Amino acid sequence: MNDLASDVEAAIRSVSDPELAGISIGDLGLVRSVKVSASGSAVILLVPTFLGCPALQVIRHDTERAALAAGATEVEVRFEYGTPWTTDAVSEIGRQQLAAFGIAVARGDQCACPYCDSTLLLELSPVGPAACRSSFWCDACRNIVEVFRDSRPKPILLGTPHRKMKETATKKDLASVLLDTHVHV
Amino acid sequence: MLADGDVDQSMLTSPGLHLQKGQQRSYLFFDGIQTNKLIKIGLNFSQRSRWTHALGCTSSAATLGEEFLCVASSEFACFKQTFADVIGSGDYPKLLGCESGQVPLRSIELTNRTFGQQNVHMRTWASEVAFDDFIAAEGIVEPGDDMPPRYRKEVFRFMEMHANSELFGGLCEQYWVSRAPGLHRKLAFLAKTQDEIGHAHLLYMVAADLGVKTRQQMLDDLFAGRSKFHNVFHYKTHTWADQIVIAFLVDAAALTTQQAVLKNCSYGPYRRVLRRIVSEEGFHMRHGEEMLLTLADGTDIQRHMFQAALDRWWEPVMHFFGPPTKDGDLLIRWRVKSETNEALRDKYIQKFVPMLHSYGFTIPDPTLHQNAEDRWVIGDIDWTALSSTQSNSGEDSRQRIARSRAAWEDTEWVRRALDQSSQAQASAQVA
Repeated sequence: MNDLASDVEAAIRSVSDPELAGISIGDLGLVRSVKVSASGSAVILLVPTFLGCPALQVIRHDTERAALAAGATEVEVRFEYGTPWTTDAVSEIGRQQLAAFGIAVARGDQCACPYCDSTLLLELSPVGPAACRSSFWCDACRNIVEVFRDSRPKPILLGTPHRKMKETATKKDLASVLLDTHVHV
Repeated sequence: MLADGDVDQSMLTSPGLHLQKGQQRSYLFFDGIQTNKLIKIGLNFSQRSRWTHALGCTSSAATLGEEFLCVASSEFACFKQTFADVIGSGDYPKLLGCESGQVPLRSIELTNRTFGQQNVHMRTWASEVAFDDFIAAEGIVEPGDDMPPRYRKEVFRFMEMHANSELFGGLCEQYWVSRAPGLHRKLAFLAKTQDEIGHAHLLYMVAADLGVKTRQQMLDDLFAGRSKFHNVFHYKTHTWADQIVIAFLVDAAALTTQQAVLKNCSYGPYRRVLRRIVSEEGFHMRHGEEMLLTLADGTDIQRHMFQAALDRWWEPVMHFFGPPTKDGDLLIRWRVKSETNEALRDKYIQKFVPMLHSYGFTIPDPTLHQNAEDRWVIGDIDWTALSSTQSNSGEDSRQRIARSRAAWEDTEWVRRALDQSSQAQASAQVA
C-alpha cells in the first residue's frame, strides 16, 4: 500500500460518527474497504448500521471531505447493503468509547451495564432514541443505558422485556430499595 | 403484626403518597425471607437522617423515596423497638399503611446477584449543610443516596420539565414529517422525531426513579395541563420557516442550556443521559443549519419567509433562557445548572447575532448594539409573554397539549399489544 492510500484510509477511519461525537466510523466498523488508484482517486465502501439510518448523508459528506483533505484527487463513497453490519464489527476502542457514552455492545449472548458491569439489564424498548440502539434499565446502578443492536436475533439478557414492571417508579424504587436491604434475623 | 388501628387510613388515599390500598406489589423480599406485608412509615428529614446514620444500611427497614421507611410486617415489632432505642419513642413516626404482595421468582434471582452489595455505597448526610459541602466538593449524587428531600424535588422538577419539552419537541417535529419538502428532509424529521421521543423516554425513566411522581403521573399531569414545558412549545408554527427557526435557533438555545448542565451536573444519572442527548442534538443542529442555509441562499420569497419567522421567534428564544437567575437559586447551589440564565443568554447572543447578520437577516430588536468591548447587547426583555406560557395559556398551548394527549391515546393499542405479548412470554416461562 502506498503512502497516499494509507493516509486516505487513516483519515476516513477517524471520521467521527455524527451522532456519537468522538467515536470514529472506523471503530464502529462502518468501513468495509478503501481503494485508492495510482492517480489518487478513492473508492470507499461503507456499511450502515441499519438501512434507514438518517446520518448517512452526513457520514458520506464528512468521509468525502476527509479523503480529499488527506490527498485523494477524487472520492466516491458507496454504501453496501448486501452484507449487513453487525455489532461484532465494533473495535475494542469503539467498545470502550461507547461504554463511556452509556452504550453497551453485546459479546456473543452476554451483555453488561456499561456503567457498573452488572447484568441486571431490563429491556424498556427494543428501539431507543436511534433505531440502532435499544433502551435498557440497569437495575443495579439505576441508570438508563442503551445497547447497540443489529439485524441478528437479540442477545439473551437476564431481564425479560417487561415494560409493565417499569411503569411506576414507586414500584421500581421499592424493588431496589427493599432488595438492597439486609435484615437482622 | 400491625393492627388495623395503627394505620392512618386518611393517609392511604392522599394523592402525594405512592402506596395505594389494594395495589398489588411484587417485591417484598428481604434477603431470602418472604413476607406478605409491607408497612410504610413517614419520617421527617431529621428523623430520617438520624435513623440512617444510626443504622446505616443494615437496618431491617428500607428507606423509600424521600421521607418514608418501609418495613416488612414480620419485622415490625423489631423495628419499633430499634426505632425507640435509637431516636426515642417520643419522636415516634407516623404509620402510613400496609399492603400485600407476592414474590416472583425473578426477585430471588436478583437478591442473590447484586443487591446485597449495592446499598453499601449508599451515602447519607447529617444535614443540608453537610450535603452542600459534598456538592461543593464536586460530589456526584447517585439514586441510592439519601439525598435531602429538597434536592430530590428540585432535580426532579428540572428533569420533568426537560422530559416534557423533549416530548413536545418530538411531536412538533413529527407534525412536519408529512409536510417537509422532499424525501431527504422527511427522513431527517422522522429520525429527529424518534430521537426526541427517545430522549423524553430516557429522561422520564430517570426522573421517575427519583420517586416523586411516576411516569404515568407525569404524563397525566402534562396532558391535563398541570405541568410545565418550555416556552417555545407554546407558539404556533405558521410556515415551514418557523420550523427551521425551531430546528436551528431553538435547538441551539436548548443545546446551550443542556451543555451547561452536562458540564457539571451533580445528579449522576441525569448527567449520563445528557451526554448522549447533547451529542445527538449536535447532529440535529447540522440538519437545522443546512435547512437555514437553503432558505438564506434562496429566492427573495424564501429569505422573506425566514425573516418573518425570525421576527416571530426572536423574543421566545430570548425568553427560553429564563428570567435573570435569582441569588440563592437552588439549581445553581446544588450544581444542577452551572451557569446563570443571563450568562447563557449572553453566550447565545454573541454567537448567533453575528451569524444571522452574516446571512443577511435582521434581529428584531431596535436597541441591539455592540458595546465598547464589541459584545452584542440586547434591549430590555418584556417578560409578559413568558408568564402566559408558564401558566399554559400561550398562543398555542391548548392545541399542543391536546395534540400530545391525542398522540398518547392513539397509541394505546400499541401499549396494550406490548403488555399482552410480555404477559404471554412471562406465562410461557412459568409453564
